[in-house]
Amino acid sequence: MMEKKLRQALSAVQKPGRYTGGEPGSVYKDPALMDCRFAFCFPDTYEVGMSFLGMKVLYEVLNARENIWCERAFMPWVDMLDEMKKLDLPLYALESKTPLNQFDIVGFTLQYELSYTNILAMLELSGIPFYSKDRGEEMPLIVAGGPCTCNAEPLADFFDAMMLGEGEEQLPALCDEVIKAKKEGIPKEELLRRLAKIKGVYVPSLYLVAYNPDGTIKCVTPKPDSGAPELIEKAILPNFRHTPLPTNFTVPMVGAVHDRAMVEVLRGCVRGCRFCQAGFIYRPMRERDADLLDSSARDLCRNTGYEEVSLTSLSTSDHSQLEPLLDKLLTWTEGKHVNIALPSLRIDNFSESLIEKTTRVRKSGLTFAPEAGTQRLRDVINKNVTMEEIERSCTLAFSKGYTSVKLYFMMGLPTETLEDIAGIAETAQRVVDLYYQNPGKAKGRGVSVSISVSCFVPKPFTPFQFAAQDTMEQLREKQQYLLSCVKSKKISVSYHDAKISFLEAVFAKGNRRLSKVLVKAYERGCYFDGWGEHFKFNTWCEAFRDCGIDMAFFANRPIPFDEITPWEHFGYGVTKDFLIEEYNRAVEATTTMPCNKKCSGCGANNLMGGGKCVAFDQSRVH
Amino acid sequence: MHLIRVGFTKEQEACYISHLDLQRVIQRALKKAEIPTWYTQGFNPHVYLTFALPLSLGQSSTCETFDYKTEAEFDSETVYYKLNEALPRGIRVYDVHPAVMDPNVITYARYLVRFTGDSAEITQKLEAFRALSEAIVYKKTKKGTQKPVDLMEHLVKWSAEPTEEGVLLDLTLPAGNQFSLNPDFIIAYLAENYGIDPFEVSICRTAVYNAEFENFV
Repeated sequence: MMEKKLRQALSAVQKPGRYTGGEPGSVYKDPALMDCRFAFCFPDTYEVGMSFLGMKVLYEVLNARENIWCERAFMPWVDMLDEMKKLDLPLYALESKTPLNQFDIVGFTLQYELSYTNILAMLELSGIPFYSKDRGEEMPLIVAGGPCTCNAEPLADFFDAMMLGEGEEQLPALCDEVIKAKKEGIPKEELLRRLAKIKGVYVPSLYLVAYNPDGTIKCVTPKPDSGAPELIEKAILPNFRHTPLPTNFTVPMVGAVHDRAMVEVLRGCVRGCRFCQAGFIYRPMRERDADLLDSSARDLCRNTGYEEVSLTSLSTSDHSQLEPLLDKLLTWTEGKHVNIALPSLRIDNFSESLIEKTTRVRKSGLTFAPEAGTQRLRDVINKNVTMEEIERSCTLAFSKGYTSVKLYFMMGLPTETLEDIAGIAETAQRVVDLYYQNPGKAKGRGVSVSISVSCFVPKPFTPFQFAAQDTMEQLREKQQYLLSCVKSKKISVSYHDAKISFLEAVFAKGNRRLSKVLVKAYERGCYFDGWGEHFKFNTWCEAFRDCGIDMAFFANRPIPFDEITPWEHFGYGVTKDFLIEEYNRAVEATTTMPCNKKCSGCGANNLMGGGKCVAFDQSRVH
Repeated sequence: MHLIRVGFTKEQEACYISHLDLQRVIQRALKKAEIPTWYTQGFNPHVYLTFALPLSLGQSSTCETFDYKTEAEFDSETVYYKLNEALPRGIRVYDVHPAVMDPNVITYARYLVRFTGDSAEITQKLEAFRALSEAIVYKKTKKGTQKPVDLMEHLVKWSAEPTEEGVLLDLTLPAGNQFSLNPDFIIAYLAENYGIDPFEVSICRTAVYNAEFENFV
């Protein structure tokens, strides 16, 4: 029986099923038999978190261990948050309903800069102090992982340890050290020193940051005798090709954003788009074995009852065995009424047989990402897509009965001019025209082309990390200009709020001084910042001003090549020299070949022990 | 084609699965259990699935049913066993058989309402409520208007027993297509007029009947 307070809260909120646990596939264990209890926290709503594949991977990895129980916690939506505060109900893990402060380890995944305040909300709701220095021995170890740890600095004061890179082996290793420390009864300080020796584990309290008078970083150094490494290099799986995939998911009962089976077909990306952080921090690109993918997808569908399986990755059509894999999948998916989804297709290798194979069960919409409106700018960002390829793919799609196409673009890219903005509208118009020229188009139906335009945010570990973000005024002017260029009613335009992208840029390139701003903004009511209706931009600006920190310093200032960045002490394989070289090539609008066609020597091969890079294999070129 | 009726319970966490979500949960469980089911024909084929009497969010039940169709040979033991393996916590199949009655015959539903607290005090409040000649609540109609309903006219059976923890009320109310009264209305009335704490009340549906008080099968 659930306790009264919880039932009371659940009766007052929307979609209470988000807060009850008990979904098919959720794992229950006997707490008395556990050596380590781990709370996996996603600092956004249940619906968003339950769509996240990484959580499913690590949930299965940790729960495969007999002595570890990994449970889940999410950021409660505002109505539940109010109820919990009112009833003095602490944040609990969904499975056992145990409050988070009673766990051994509380781990957050950092997926998005604007979810940082939600971390503070979740800690406060659990009665856990924000700053690691304020937490005693009785408190759980607070850790973080995920892509945003590549610039962990704005959160460095909150976490005991942060994990860089791939968690499948690193996270159990961290749990083992905690179990060992508990058995030996050693203090947290000693545990942290031991954790710092695990590959990719960054213990912020073991480092000193010195600043120059202008606010830039002078140096980041490990404390004397701490034994912590000078460069924290990300953890990477030694054999991704044959690393098992999760074959059971916790299946949400309240609809998640992406509620379907997922298999990760490859990790990393060969393309090297210069704005894309994922394309650099997950290097080198590694494929999974097609037979393993097929059998895992089949097991997963059987274990979950899902009606759709998604072939997930940064660029699924770059898998060299994609078509044979689809043929394998099709031998069983149709009979089981399972649909195959390919969420990240490239315009340039979108083929007739791909359409054929993925629409046999059901037809879904088509989405392409040209990212920029002119060939010159696409060359700058190294999105190696030509107008001919866009035309060919859309013509093909229309002839197969598709009537709606979604196109993704960015604005505010380095070297961008108004001509490039007009090019976005022209590209969309060209797609509309193609539809009406197409004899095979669906009868009696019009075309709908939606263009979604986001604001470019320069990110660490990309060649564009050196670039300044456009000011909000510049971005707004460009948005207005784009609207004025769109003439057809068949084209709908949506764009991101420049203020949100600005704050994202500040935290993406921020340093340790931002911790106190986060606390101040949170205390003044900022959370769910990524949700437009809860975003309080003015409160943020005041919090920065009151802390004496200039937001433009982080977002709108170009970084000289020789400046020490806040993330200089983290290693993702890709060298700074390579990023500088790529930046220079961008300014000249010179493209760089994908890794599988020509190795450009980014340095990621050194993560795997050096030598010929796994991403470069001529036999795979297609 | 067989129309199969599956009886199941919905308790604990599962009380908070909404009707819409429950449909998806059952559909996936059938698929996961690899039970042969008939798919609707048409552009977007899906499993044919109907529920006789949706349950309110937060209430538990020991007598829910859903129906599915199949063209295959059907073995109730296999369906029972496999479905229970596939369903989430709180949902348990207890009966599988070919449907006998039409859902339109449903006329009453029986509930066990558990009040936690001082049993003498609760008993007194319930008796005072029972002694009323009229207790009007307003029920939303499909058109969105408010329709007055006198609770007293619809307490088909009422039997309250004191227990160590409080009071157990065995309550039968109208249910089904013609007229349905959700026990939540009674609890809300008791909360408003007699100070009963609604969070100390739990409701469990225990039976669904036709007009002759025969179990819906």
